[in-house]
Amino acid sequence: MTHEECRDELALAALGLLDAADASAVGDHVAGCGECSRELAALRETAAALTWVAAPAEPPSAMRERLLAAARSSSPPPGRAEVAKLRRRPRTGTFAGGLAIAAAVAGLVLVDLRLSNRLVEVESELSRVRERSDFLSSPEVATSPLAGTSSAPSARGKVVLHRDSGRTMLICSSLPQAPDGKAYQLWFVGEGHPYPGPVFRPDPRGRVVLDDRVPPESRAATRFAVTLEPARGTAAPTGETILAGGER
Amino acid sequence: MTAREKTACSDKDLLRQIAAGDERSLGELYDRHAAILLGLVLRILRSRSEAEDVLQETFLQIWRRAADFDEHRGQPFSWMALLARSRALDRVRALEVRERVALEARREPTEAAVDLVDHAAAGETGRIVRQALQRIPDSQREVLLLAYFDGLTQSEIAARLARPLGTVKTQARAGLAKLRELLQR
Repeated sequence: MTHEECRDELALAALGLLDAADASAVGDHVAGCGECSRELAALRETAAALTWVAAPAEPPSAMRERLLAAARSSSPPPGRAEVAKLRRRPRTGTFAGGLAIAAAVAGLVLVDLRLSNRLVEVESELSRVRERSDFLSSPEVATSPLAGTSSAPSARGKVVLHRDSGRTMLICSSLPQAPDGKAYQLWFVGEGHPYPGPVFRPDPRGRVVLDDRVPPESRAATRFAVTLEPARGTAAPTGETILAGGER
Repeated sequence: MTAREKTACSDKDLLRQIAAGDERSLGELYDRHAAILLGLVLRILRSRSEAEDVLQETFLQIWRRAADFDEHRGQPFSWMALLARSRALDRVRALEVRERVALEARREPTEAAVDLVDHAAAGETGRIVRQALQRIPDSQREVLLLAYFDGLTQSEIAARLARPLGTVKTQARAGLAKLRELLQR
């Protein structure tokens, strides 16, 4: 890729619009061209400003502590772990022996890093499970059981709604598979008006676990229904009702 | 560290201290940027729990990779936003089909009607960026936002908006150049 060709692609690269081949050609040129490299950095700064179009969202208060705990358990950062371990390398012994030990130590460092990365993943998964279970058992949520209609008599479900935040979990079992081009949609019914909720399909065993945040108008709902709708969802229910229920 | 010294610490200083294993600096960086980064990944993922997950992973990645931050290649905020955005887009791609159907359905309405209303919490920077975007032609703004928040390639955007590929490229270049100019004023 020539310098001129590359300049034309820089804005597209900064926005992540290029396919892998073009992105790599741009990368190759930029690596050896100071001018393009500075221009790409400046365009990336501009692209990153788009972040501010998003509305900031306050993370849950427990998250900070969870993060620091996870950081502590994955500590020290990899760079330092390697230095610490390599320092312990014995200085005596034959050259070949030294190499073998060095290789073994390097292998151990690698295993150690893999394990610590895996640990972080497991911890992150565990904290998600814990967080969901706290949510489901919190006294501040309203739980509404849903029963299958005559279209799906064995289907069962429940909606767990936290009215202040709008966080909603929908859990269903024995839901029939949605036909091609169709999906299920959850409705929040308040004062006789149904507000549209998420669209979803069950897993192959008919189960559903959705975790979502709904807009304020849906949060006062006391009745809920799941209907069969076109796969993209609709603004008002059009299909057959599969599950329905309300607060106990 | 006194409160005064703490506020004087730039994001670059914090990243240097994090690279040296200073946990308190990670907490400080989190306090400064967690809300806007959560806003970013939430806009991409449209699911609070997925977004919170990605936010936590992003900060852990910052913890592990702070030493990789190169100040000659950009500002700390852009680097962190890039990490968060890539993780969120990876997560969207990895979502099972059933979840993706729900996600797409939730995306649809906001995509066309780009909300540029002021969010009080976004503060001064948010206001400046949104005002700048309002001065960019709709067709260009649409391309910028589809690229940034949906992670679509230029061909995918062309298909989605039913515009020729060349037009999409031109609009992306012009939109980004205009945004840069407006933000530099």
